[in-house]
Amino acid sequence: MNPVSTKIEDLRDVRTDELIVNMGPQHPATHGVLRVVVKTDGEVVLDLEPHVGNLHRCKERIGENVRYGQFMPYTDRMDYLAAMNNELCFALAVERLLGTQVPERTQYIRVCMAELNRIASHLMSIGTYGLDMGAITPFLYAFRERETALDLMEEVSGGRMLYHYIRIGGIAQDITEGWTDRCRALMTDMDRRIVEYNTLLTWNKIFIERTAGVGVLDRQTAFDWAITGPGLRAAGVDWDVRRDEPYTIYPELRFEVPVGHGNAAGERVGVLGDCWHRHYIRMLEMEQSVSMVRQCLDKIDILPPPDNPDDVSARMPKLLRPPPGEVYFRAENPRGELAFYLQSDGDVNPWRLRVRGPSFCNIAVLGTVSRGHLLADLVAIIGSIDIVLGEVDR
Amino acid sequence: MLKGRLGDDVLDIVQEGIHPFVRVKPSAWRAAAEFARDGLGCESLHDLTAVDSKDRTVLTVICHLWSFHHRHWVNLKADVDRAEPCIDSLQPLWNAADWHERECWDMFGVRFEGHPNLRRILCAEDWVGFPLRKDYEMPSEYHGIPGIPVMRARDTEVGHCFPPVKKEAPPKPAAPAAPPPAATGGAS
Repeated sequence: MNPVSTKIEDLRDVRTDELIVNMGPQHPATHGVLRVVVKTDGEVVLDLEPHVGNLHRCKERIGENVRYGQFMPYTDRMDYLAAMNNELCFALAVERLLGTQVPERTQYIRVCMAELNRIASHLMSIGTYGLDMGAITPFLYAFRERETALDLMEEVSGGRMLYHYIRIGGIAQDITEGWTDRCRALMTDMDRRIVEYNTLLTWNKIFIERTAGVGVLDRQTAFDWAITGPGLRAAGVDWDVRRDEPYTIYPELRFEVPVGHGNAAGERVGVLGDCWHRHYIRMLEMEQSVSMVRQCLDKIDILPPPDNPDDVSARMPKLLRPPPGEVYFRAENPRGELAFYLQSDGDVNPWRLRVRGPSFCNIAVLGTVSRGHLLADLVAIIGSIDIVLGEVDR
Repeated sequence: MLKGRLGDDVLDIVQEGIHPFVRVKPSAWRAAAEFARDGLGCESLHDLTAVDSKDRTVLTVICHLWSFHHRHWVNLKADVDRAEPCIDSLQPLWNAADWHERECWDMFGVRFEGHPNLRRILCAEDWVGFPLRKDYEMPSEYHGIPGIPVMRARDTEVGHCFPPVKKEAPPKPAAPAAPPPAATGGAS
């Protein structure tokens, strides 16, 4: 008897009955309440349709009913793995509408928090991706460092995942005594941990076999579907909002934008835009974030804290009434470009608050990418796109 | 440039401020977007949404187009009739428009002509009404789930937005005295 071939080309010749398989919404590999209805032919995915909306809370309507500052805690609950980044984006959008200037030291603290949160978010993403691929150990390792990062952010804000730390015009309160040293210790730890994750996962042969060449999202598809974040850069597009459309103090920081070349570290692994590249871009981004956090910490230590603790934020009126107008502001989140479209009519509530979530846009491409792949690869593709359903459904 | 290409179909161009935009006639929506893609190099449709108007006469459909090559935004707006909102779909131009238009239909009830699969995306298929229209009212119940009349509570200045919970008298315990909660907590 011949051994069973695992090549997709061979499986395509075997015609079996089509079968509709329902995956989710309660499924460990869909990272939340994503439901995917898959039309399969044997093991091959013929067609699929993601169903979203199970976590829909109509954030945009809530935003129109509350005041600008009151919406800040709701932004935490969109992409709950990158709450600081959401807060930063929303604060900057409102500040651009108001024309507020934030003190320099506060801007460094904000960016430091956002990059720290990016590390925590990527650790989660990488850890669970390993778990999806059957590697349990990297998940536990990643959570060890993530826990320290969360502790650091809890120390300044009081919340473990939902911080409400960055406010419109500044931050809730100054960082605590000795915080920068503790953060620096984590960064020193991260340097060798990233090498460890790479050894455990990125260059692991089984992991490469599962992810390299799977779910290729090329440059044109990425443009067409408005893919942003690591997915875009893994497709070879040299684009990062932090560098190319900089906001706050990002121009002051030295960092590189990792872009997929299809020829990583001298040895050819996979093809440009596949699952492995998306994973690898996250690893490289984490290194850059570590460097950025360090630069911010140095700057925070140099700049003197304000004499009056209230001066850590810009002086804002009690009731924010932005002048009538509109703004479309985007920022680079761990999962892609988060954008807020705000329309003010001069009242205390926004007239329109639109959230353009990166996860929502990125998961839409799932059907195109995974057609013709094995059902088992679907898990690899969903994990590599890295969605947070809180943001997909908002 | 857009003005020269589309002529009278362009109603308004705002170039100053933090959000420049071009307002076109709804009939020229597809043509304007197509020109933005082919003539102005906008490879990706970053966002598409709608805004209700103050006087409840029009819905403004907005799309934000981004060009990676030229690094510029093209923001298009079109006012559609609120009673019968209908506009050409941009899905044939960018696949990214697919889900954004479905969401816009779901939330505002804007019908996109030529969209292959215009169904509700975030709300349930049998949901009634369009939640982001300003005159939308929460249904009082949905399949037995009680609704939260937030809008009504705000309009009538009621302090709480949840309906008051009716307290039923607890059934009398068979035992003369229930054990204190601390004891059960300690046992478990």
